[in-house]
Amino acid sequence: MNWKKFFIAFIAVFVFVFGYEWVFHGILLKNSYAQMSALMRPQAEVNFPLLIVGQLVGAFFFTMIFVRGFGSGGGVAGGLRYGVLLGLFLCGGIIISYAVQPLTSTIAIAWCIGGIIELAIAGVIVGALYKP
Amino acid sequence: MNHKRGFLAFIVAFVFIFFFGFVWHGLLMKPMYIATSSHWRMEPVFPILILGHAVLAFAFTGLYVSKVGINSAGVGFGYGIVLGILACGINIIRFAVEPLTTNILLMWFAGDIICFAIMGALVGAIYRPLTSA
Repeated sequence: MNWKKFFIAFIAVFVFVFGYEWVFHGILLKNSYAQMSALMRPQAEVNFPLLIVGQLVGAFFFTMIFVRGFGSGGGVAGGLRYGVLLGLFLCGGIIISYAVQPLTSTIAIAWCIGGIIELAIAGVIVGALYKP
Repeated sequence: MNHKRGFLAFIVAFVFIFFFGFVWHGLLMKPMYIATSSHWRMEPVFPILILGHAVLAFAFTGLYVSKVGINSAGVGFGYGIVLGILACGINIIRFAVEPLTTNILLMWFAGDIICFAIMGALVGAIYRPLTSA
């Protein structure tokens, strides 16, 4: 395993995820979240350090699974397929959340589509940066 | 790719995750959900709940079959563990922005890792690539 390339890919994925989620959740979906404020912490109570820890854990294992699980990785195309499948995995969890939580359908659909796009791009990044 | 074995693994994964979810979330965690009832629907929307489990099982199996593709319960177990930890990252993010209790978060951690580890072992044990069939 090429640890240097792994670390670069992990950092790149984390930076992308942080930026993407800030734009997607913090700006694009801001008004939608206002409609279901009872399900969210008030802005002042959002735990940002923990949010970043969650993104770090996600980015680390997203990169680790690709690198360790798939050997050569398959480059950009392999990364894209990997990201789309993991996005679908995430989408399954969102559908389950929608079934048990009073989320709006707009939020659930946006999370699914946005999640698949996010992880597809993250997969492309890992596939492009990691070389065994 | 062995589609027949892949489909069988998907069905087993789906049945397992649905049953596990019923026991873990529907029975073990029920008091925790009742204590935070304003955060949940009064009754789950069952057709959507089943769809969500099917999508999750499909993606989990599809990723294993298309990218790992080894007939080994041990490899599948490891695959499930790392996907479970990845799911924990998502749970941490949810805890950061949603008013969940720490007990719920910890039970989600344990539930996801146990569930995906067993599911991975099942998928790894059932799936066989065509070359070794």
